[in-house]
Formats: sequence, structure tokens, C-alpha cells
Amino acid sequence: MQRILFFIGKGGVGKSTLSAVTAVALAGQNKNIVLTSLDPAHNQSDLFQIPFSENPSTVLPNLQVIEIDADKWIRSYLKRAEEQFQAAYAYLTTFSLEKYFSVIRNAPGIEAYALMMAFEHICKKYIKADYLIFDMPPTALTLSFFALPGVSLLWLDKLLQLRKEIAEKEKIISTLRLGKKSLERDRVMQNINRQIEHWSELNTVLSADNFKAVVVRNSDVLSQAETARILTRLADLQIKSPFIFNNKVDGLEVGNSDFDFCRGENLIGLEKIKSYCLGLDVGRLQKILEWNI
Amino acid sequence: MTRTPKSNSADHNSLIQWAIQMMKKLSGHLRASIAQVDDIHRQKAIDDLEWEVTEMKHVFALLSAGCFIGMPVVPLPVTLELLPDARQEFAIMLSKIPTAQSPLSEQFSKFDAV
Repeated sequence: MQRILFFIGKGGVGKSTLSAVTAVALAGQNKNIVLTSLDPAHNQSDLFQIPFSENPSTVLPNLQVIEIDADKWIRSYLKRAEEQFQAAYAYLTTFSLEKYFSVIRNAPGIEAYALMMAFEHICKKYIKADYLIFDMPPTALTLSFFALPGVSLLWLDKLLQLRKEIAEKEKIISTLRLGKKSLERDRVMQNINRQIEHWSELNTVLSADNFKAVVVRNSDVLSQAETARILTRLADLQIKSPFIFNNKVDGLEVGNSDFDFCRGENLIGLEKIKSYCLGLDVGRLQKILEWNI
Repeated sequence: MTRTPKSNSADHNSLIQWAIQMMKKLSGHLRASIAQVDDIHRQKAIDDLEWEVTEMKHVFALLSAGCFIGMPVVPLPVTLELLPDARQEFAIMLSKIPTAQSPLSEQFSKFDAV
């Protein structure tokens, strides 16, 4: 069964490095890997010294790497929304759509939504991969991303309840007026139900047993503190039992973790990453990442 | 002039006929009155329900599309997905823009219709 890993953590702890190392290590064990950077400030191109893009690049025979263009996803989403809007509101010629959609581009939630659409696309396209590894943005955007399905479903449920009450009262009015119930379709309710179905599917993926968050931390105080906050927030979002990977370990005790990665010098380029993997207990790493589903 | 039993009977019958006609007229008037009262109450119930539905639709419009008048509530992607099917709600939001700063004037303007 496919496993999905999200590498998360404070900025600079080594999420990109460890996601790249893990991808190369697992690919070396003949696993089929797709490594995707969802961080708008991509680092995978710098790590591998290969220019990556939305089109997958084959770095090793069973390792493909993708860097998502979040701006492109936002633009295409807003373009689709604008087209639907124009078709539905053709009579509103005085309403300036361009002005509103240029503002919406920077509205809260849009970037997280763009990443969610990209994530959905990757999951659908690479269903045969053994591992989908996601290099995530720093904490704030990542937590918004994880919270988005739950928050959307909460609001959609409220909107649906209100809409059902409106529909009930309209039925009563119609019965009083006409002596019979009218059978007009409520397109808004159908729309809400469609959205509930879509967000429920995404919620199911993020709470499935084959999905794991990997929290990367360093030994410094700030990283430890942020890791504690991340773990609390993940628990609130009901994201189960994340892995904890310690990075840049110098032999100092940093607390319980699932795996320790010692400090690597100048891990730039595929050969350096492969060389680093030779010093890893890849068997143990693989065992951890083949958790029971 | 003495009344014969036959003429007494005829008077009695015409009295009964008259009473029956009066009863029919009365019941007709009563039915009409009840129907009128029913109409009035029905119309009042419809008016109350329609007002309630209008207000509920306003709340729904505010919740689902309030971001267009500066009230961020529902996640924006939910709003954008809803909008193609929520023309009425969007029209409500646009109509609220002129009076958004003066809700009292909108309330008083309702009296104009009265």
C-alpha cells in the first residue's frame, strides 16, 4: 500500500535535506518514490543541483522529483473561478471582476488551498508510487494546509443546516400559497453537498493510516519549542502519531526521536546525498517508514 | 275567518322554507367569513414566513459571501466554489453595500413601503 510522508518543521531545521535523503535512501531499497516540494521557497533544486519544475524529473531510476509552482496553481484556480463567475453573472457588467480577483490572489487561505489542489493532483497522478514524500513549507503555512479540510467542512456543515432550514420554510410557503409543494431544485444546496464530498475525501486522506507527518527538529531551544507547538497542533487536528526525526545531531542528547540524522557537511548534489546515505542505517530507517497500516 | 287545517299547514311549510333559506344564507355568510379570516391568517403566516426566509437568506449570504464586503468568515475557497450557484446571495450582498454603513436608514426606509 502507498505511504504518504509530509516533512514538516521550523524553517531551517533541514526538512528539504531530510526529505531528499529519505527519498534517495528509499529509492536505493528499490522503492518507487515521488518527492514533491510544496514549499513556495523551493530548495530541492539547490540540493540536487538539478532544475526542477511542475514536470517530474527522474533523478534515479525509481525516484522522481517535482517542485510545485504554487503561483501557477493559484492563477489557474482563480481563472477557472473567474470564468464560472463571468458565465453566471454576465448581467453584472458594472461589477469589476478583475479588481476583486486580483485582491483574492493574496487573501488568507488561497495559498494553502493552492497547495491542497497540487497535493490532490499528485496523489491522483502517482497512485502507483510506493512513497509520496512531500517537502512542506514552514510551520504556519503547513498547519493552515492541514487545517483547511476540517475548517471547510465545519463551515459547510453550518451552511448546509441553514440552507436546509430555508428550504423547509420555502416548502411550507409554497404549500400555503399553492396547496402543493414546489419541486424547484436548490442549486446552492447541491453545490454545498458537492463541496462536502470533496473536502471529506481530502480529510480521509489526511487521517488515513498510510499518511504520516515527519516532524524534523534540531537540538537548539527554538527548534525544540516550535516542535512542541507543532505536535500540540497536530494532535488538535487529529493527525496521528507523527514521526520525529532529529537532524544535525552532534552526538548531543536531544530527546526521544524515531531516527537521528547526524550533521552532514555540504550535502549538495546527488552524489553527496548518496554518499551520506551510505553512512545511514537505511535498514532501520526503512523499517520505521514501513509502519503497520 | 277561521283558518282551516290546510292553510295552517301551508303557513307552517312556508315558515320552514323561509327558515331553511335564512339558515342557508347565514351559513353561506358564515362560510365566507371563515374563509376570509382564514385568508387573512394564511396571508399573515405567509408574510411572517417570507420575512423569516428573507432574513435567513441574508444571513446565509453574509456567511457565504461576506468577504466581498469586508467580512472574512467562511474559508475563501468555499465561497468561490459556491458563487456560480449563489447568484441570489451575491445580489443580496451587492444590494447591501450602499446601506452597509447605515443599517438604521435601511430599517426606516421599510416604512416608506407602508
